[in-house]
Amino acid sequence: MVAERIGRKFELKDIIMIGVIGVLFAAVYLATTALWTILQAALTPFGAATFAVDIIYGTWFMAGSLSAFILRKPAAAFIAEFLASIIEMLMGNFGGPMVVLFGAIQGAGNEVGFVLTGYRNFRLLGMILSGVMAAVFSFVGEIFAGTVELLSPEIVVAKLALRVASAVVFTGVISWLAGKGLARTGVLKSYPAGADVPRARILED
Amino acid sequence: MRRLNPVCKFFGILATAVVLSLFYVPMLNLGVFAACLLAAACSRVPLRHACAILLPALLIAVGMFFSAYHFSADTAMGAHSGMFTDARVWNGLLLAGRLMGFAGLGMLFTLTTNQIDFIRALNTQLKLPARFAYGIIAAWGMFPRMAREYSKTRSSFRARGLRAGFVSPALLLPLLVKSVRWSESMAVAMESKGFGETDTRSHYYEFRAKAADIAFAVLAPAAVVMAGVWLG
Repeated sequence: MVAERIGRKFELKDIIMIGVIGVLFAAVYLATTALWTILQAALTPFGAATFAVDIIYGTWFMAGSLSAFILRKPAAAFIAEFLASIIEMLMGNFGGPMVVLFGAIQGAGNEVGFVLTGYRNFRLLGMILSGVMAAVFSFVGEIFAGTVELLSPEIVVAKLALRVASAVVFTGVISWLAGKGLARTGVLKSYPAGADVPRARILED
Repeated sequence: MRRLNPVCKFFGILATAVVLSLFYVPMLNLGVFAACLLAAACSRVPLRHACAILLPALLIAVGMFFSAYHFSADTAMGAHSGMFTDARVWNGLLLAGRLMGFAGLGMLFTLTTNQIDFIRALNTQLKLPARFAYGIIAAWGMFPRMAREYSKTRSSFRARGLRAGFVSPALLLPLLVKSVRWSESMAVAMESKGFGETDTRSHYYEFRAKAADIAFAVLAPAAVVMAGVWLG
């Protein structure tokens, strides 16, 4: 079974780490959904509410790219994004099972981004590529879900451009900075991402 | 709804949502939403919890309606029924109604399903590898600790006179560091108890699909197809 073959490549600590990142980002995703609601309400009087989701969409791909940055293993991005979407659904996102479907599509996009670099580039460019592919995949998914094609073509193109820009910022730059910051604390020393990173003082509250 | 098998319920509701996205009939979306409210009421879902999920969706749906109204495509998909002559109103109602249909289905699943049972069912019924299933359950169990730690870090920032917003990278990074440490400790604890020694496990909680569960997974999307054809 494919899932079992992939599962064997992951140690238990990798899976729990992905799960913990999934839980953490599921909470962030729910906070993002609240932000989406506020932004959407603020843009409604101008009829521009449809752009609210695209401005913040990049945050929804962060679990996948950050997990791949830490583990640097094939399927890590997909599994992390997929697990985060299951946890987000269980935490109470109003999308329900559709969230898991979209999580799988976005995770596949994340993964394809790393596949394109042959799993060799986990630097800024690789992270941005992963985010951009996730943005494109999520947009195609939404076209199939029938939530964008009723808008005029110019608006659809603007939505895609905004979503890609959001992915570059959140999934690319911010995830990369978060991963680097995490590695510098020394907590990733047993993971590929922390192998040769000079360590700063470990953050404590 | 609470007694349905979690995996069958998941696929039944997912299939219903996918089918819903194939039809361009505003009344169908609202009908599905109403059916979800009725099913939730029959399952004694607390009104407060349902509102907490549905109100944000309603706000977003209103925004979607006005966006579609202002920036509508030239043609209204399926506006031949004569109920709405204005393509912009039709498209707005379609997008907003579809979101509410999805939200009703999502609310119904989330508030009538035990989270841990769903993950256990993924393991026993869909053969999700045990390492993943128990990994998710372990991570899920850490959530209250993470929430406590987050508010503790926030308090310590305040005690030092540092300002940090409700969702701040300055607070998230320390939490991320601690979470990675906890995940390693949790993995060591599980392995020291023999977890992962063998692939053949017995289960205290068994999940099996009964006829009623399969009937729901098939009939719910089928009912939407029939209603969609009839209304369309």
